[in-house]
Amino acid sequence: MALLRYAAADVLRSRRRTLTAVLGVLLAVTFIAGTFIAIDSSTRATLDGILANYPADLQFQAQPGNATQIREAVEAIPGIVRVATWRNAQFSEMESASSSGPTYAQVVGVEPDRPPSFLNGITITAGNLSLPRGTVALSEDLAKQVNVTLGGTAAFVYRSYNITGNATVTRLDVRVGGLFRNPYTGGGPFYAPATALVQIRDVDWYEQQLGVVSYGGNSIAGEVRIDRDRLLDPYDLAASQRNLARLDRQINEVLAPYQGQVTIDYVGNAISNFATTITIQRIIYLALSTPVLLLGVYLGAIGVDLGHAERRRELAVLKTRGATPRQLVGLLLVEAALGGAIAAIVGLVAGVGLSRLLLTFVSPFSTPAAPRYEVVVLTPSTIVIVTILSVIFMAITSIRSARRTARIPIVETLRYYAPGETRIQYRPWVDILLIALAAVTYGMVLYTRTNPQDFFTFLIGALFFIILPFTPIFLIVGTTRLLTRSTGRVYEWTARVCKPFAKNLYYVISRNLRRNPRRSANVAVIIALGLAFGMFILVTFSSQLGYQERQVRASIGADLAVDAPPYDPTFAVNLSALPEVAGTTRVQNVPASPPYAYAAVYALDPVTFFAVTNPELWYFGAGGAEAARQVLATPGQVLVTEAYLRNAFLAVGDRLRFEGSVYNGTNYTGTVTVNTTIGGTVRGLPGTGYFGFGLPNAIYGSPDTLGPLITPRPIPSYGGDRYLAAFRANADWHAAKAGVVALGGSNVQVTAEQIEGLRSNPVFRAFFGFIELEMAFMIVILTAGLGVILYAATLERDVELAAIRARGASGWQTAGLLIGEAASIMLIGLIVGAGIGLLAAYLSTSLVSAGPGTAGESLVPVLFIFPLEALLLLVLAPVAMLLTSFAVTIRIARMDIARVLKLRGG
Amino acid sequence: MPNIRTKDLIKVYRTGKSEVIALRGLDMQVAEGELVAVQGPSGCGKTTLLNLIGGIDRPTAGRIEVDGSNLVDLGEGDLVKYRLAKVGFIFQFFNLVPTLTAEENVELPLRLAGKGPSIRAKRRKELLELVGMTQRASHRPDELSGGEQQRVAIGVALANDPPLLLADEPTGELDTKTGQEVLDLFRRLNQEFKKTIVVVTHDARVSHIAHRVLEIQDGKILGETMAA
Repeated sequence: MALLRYAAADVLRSRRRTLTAVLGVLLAVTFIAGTFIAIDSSTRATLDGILANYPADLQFQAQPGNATQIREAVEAIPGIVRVATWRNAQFSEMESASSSGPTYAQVVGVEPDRPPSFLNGITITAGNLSLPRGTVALSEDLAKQVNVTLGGTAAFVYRSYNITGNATVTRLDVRVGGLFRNPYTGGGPFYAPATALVQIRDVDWYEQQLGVVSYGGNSIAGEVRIDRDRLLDPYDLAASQRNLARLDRQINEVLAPYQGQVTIDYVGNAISNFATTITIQRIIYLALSTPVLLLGVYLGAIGVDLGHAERRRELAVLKTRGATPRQLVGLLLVEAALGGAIAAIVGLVAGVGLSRLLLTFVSPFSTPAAPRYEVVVLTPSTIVIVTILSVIFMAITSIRSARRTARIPIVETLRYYAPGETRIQYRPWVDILLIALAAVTYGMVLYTRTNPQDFFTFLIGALFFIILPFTPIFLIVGTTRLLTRSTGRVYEWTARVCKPFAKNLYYVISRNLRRNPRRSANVAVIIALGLAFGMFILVTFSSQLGYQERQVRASIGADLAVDAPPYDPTFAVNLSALPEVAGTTRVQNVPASPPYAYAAVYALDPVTFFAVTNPELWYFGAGGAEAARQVLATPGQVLVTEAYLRNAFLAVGDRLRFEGSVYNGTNYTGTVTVNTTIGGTVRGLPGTGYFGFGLPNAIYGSPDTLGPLITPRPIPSYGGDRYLAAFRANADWHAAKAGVVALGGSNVQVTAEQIEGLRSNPVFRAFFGFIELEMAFMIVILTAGLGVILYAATLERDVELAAIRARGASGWQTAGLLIGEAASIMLIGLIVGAGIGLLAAYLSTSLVSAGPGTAGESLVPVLFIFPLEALLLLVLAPVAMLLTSFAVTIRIARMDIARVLKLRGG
Repeated sequence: MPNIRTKDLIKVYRTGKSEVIALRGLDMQVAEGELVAVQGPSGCGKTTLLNLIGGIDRPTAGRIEVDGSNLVDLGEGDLVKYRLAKVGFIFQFFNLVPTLTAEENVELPLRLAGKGPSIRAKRRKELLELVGMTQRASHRPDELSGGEQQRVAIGVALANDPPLLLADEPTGELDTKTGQEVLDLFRRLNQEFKKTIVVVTHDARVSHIAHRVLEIQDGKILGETMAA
């Protein structure tokens, strides 16, 4: 207890020393507190974002009946805002007098004034959706396939089979009352764009007219939107779950007469997992905050060390009075714990302010409307976690210094000059171990890439991929500490930078740095760690983003890619005629299985393909694009990918024989054989598949070479012909896309749109924004840290500096010594930090595409990108620190020499 | 050669609401080449007087003339030059730069004065020989005894060959034998090198080497004793 009082008195009365000691940890816990408060304050927005991904809040099913009655009954339940119903018809073909035969159509009954969510994006292009009995609305694709227009007549077709297999075909004429464009996204209830809409209440009538034999299963489906504000409280999940459970029961009761029930409770599932979601969110952001935490703890360790050094005489006096080293360590740790508690309180308060800046970056979900944030939400768990972390961090920062301080001999600390403070007690083996581990990990990853089937890599290769994400940290920490602490000479070298400014006094700077290496090294390490982490994160992030953008370009192949509609022979001409389009090329999937190993087969026009896609060098081997084009242009020759060549144990010059089926209309008439020769290899070609990890297995030939294999399909379908288009310079991609969609193309992909989507992806935006803010905060830590350390150093050296002034140095000359020292240390930190950060980023980007086993290569390279933000960090951090050191040393320039010296005698 | 004269010298220290009058109109004079000891009880203003003469503090009122120039009229830059060229300060607690060796400490004022390398090297050697520290030149202060540190400090004070030396309790931290060695050095500096020396001290032995001993009490000269 006596020690506790003594510790508390020292912490509370020595405010400057306490601030120096806790500043690093305070900044670290401020960031954590700000992040957690931001997460808690944006919980409602997070829930809204999660729920925005669902088509509805609840879905139900009921047996066929009066859909309107069912809907109204459910809507009458308190807490329900909107209900929509639909029903799939049990017939799925349409034709017209002018169509070439029946075509597949998904017929859906809806209430047009209450369309379900999967019709949210449709555009009425002709007529309307009033849909009286006998009237149908068609998607434009279906209308083209059936060859009808608005006002025309089409027919539903139903085939029934008797026991002998004979088919009875029944037709029912319907009038086309509306046309719509369906934004086919490849998912949801629409698996094909060919959709016909009828009134839900008329589905039974249509099925009756067509003589449909029901096998069950065409129940009425419904989706429900609830009053979320009334029923859901993200801060009271128990109450929310209770409300939802009661609502489910009420809906089931209402649906019971219709033999219906709730089938999917999206919002209930989201709520039941929400607590876990928030916890995971906190963990992820805590992990992302690691650089700030490490820097803060390191700065804290220096601040604590300074404080202990300042008090060594006082502590030595305690020892002369009978305190044991253990009691001294205990005292210093109690002070650390008290400091941690103070840091937690201040950090929580400051965190409230910081949380305002972090709000938009802590929720990786997007909401359709403006996100709803609470003013400030400070939960008990945040207070507890921040306090515990703060105390633990302070204990970590203090333990080593406390033990060292307690061990210093009494007599040495009572001397005026204590030699123990002027040497580095540095054992490099830990850092050497870290560097060795990093080197071995990178080496093993490289080895695994080149020897994926090796027994050795099979045994332990995966282990190194687990360590790989941590390797940059090992490399940065180990190398930085080794370079800044293993020798004092490095500071002497960098002090020469100050020579033009310090002139004759530069040697004082270099001596001070060289003979007080521990403090110099500690400051340099902080600066280097901050810059290294910053450079690594910014460069890696930008390089990864660049990689993803290159993947987009490789997958799409050109500025735009589109699936041609199956029944439109004029599509290609119309596409080329669009004002934004400079050129087009066709990529045809060839329905032929290659021999020896699996590969996709494509027919590419050798002239237009290369002109439109303009493939980068990494697609090709030694001969480049021209050699590949020559092979394609040579009849009878094909290009194969290197992966296929390897997997099939083939070589250039080998023959490849393809077999394909031949149809006459829908009748299979036999097979056709095409013999080719492998003329060359490529790594892949753009626009011919999705390029994730791994190299593609593909074969490319010209339409001339592979022509016989490309026969008309019995049932034309989407995905057969794909067109790639290059835009004119400065073309507006929005207009181009609208034009292509108007032509009836589907699966339209625009490179510029997807790249914009990458950058505006809520996850990317959240994480990258958070990291940018974190980098800015790290500059604050570095600046504040350097300021505090310099300030404490000037206090400790007051008398020395006053004596130098008394001996004839001017105020600014003396201040210049300190600025020179700070600049020299900063230079080391800058060089080491930037160098190591860039090296770690380079190794990570060049190795990150390596995965376990044979998925080790990516067609698209991960290129090293140095973003503007990294340059800003390199410039702003040192400038901020120099300005701080200038501000701190002003007091030296204006020092009252006599007053300072008077403290020592007279 | 300096001729120190103070007239109605007043120094008041203000800390918060309290005031301490260290010097209350002190008049004194030191002739060129004199070795004068200043004695008095603690808090009488001895060190304050030294600080004012040394140009590291400014008086509240009064005049300080050194070689005809009133220090009160000098700007900050001129005071720096004054301290660099005209005065050598020797402190009770030595106040050496802890990270520099003995010879580097001695060289520091020469660098401040912009002297070239060859001049510095020559002067450094001379000074270290003068103070008897040639064998220990490459040692840092923490490796030197108190007496050695003070001798180095004297060497530092003499670096730019100032005509005036001001010593504040130079033997306060030293044992008897070492203190006597320092005083012998002072005598030599005064007699052989004609330095004007003002020593603030409690050490009675200083009176054996001083030409005069001034007694200060309550910020004023109480009396003066000629040396035996």
